[in-house]
Amino acid sequence: MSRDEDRDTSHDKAPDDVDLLVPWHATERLSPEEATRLEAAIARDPAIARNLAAAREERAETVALNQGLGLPSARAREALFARIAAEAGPDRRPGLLERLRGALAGLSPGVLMGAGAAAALVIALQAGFLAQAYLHAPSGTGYETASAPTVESARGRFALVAFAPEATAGRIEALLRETGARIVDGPRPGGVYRLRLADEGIAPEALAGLVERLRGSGAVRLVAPESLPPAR
Amino acid sequence: MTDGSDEALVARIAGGDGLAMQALYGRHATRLYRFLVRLVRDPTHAEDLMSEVFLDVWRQAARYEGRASVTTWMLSIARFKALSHLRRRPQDSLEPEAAEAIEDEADTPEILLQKVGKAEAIRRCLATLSAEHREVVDLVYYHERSVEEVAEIVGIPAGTVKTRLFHARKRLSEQLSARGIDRGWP
Repeated sequence: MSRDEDRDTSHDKAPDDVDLLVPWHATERLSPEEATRLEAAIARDPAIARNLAAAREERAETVALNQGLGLPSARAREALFARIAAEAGPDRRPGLLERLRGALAGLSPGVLMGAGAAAALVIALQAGFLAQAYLHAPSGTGYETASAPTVESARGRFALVAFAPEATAGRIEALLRETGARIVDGPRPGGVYRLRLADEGIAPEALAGLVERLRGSGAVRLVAPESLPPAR
Repeated sequence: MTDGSDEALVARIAGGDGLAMQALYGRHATRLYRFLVRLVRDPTHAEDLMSEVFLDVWRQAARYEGRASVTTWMLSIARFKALSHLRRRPQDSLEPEAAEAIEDEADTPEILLQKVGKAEAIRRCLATLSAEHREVVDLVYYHERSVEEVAEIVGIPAGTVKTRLFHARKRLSEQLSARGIDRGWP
């Protein structure tokens, strides 16, 4: 096929848009407005009606031709699902929550202050992630793991925190909302998480105020502000 | 997005749901396979490529953004894989016209029409279209893709999709006419 055909530079009378859209009328894939326009054209022009009849014939035989091509074999299906079963799952970077679970599993009971406290921490942090997603959800569509790095998360003022085992999920969520803080990393040894508290330009007094609100909340047992942005 | 929609299945697949993967396979495998057979013209290779498409879906489901329908997304992946395959194996890219011309050489139009009938004659002529014409004919008539969806899959402007199909249909009418079949169009 020549590219001239695509550009329709032949010397024949160029087809108008109605002629071109007839095949999609045969498959009912036109918008309601286009379909109405086609119906009106068909009613007044027998040549377009013949065009549509030809398109319907082509469609029927194209379907028949494809149906004659057979089916994929059961062997192909079995081989595919055997490969899928052999893989751990879709190729996605583990999110922060998965890493949290992994880290908790690797810690000794003494470090964890007991299984109950660990479970409370997981629940609390899940709530924290929900709050984070709610407050900072991207505007576009699509999927992103909780720990996907962003430019914003690399700059700002940060603090290391450990949540109190008795802190409820609702309390931690409220605290994150009130302070505008977000969990950006963790867990680190001892169940410590890194929070982004504010932008780089925040006044020292305002930053100190945020730290005090965290300390006074009762939801955290440790708050350690980072004095300088981390080296990159 | 309903629970049983393709989009919902892909979201579940992104979470590692194997049952959703089986549902998606059951829904799309046959059409994908046939699309690939028409492109690479070899059932064994088409089956291998189809499996690669589903593996890509399994691995990349989390990256599906819903900008196109799942069917259009999968057909785009399939087409890309078919073209890559044909580039690696140029001997497979023989245009079908040559083989069909040899096969039909001895038949006059009247004899052919008597032997096979109009419907079969149309199918034979469809099979002899160029790869580019064949592709757009299949996408519109069998896969029931809209103008915009064909443009997305093939990677050409919507206007080009329309004129390409128009010329494919014109070529089909010319071939049928050469076999003594006048369809009254164009």
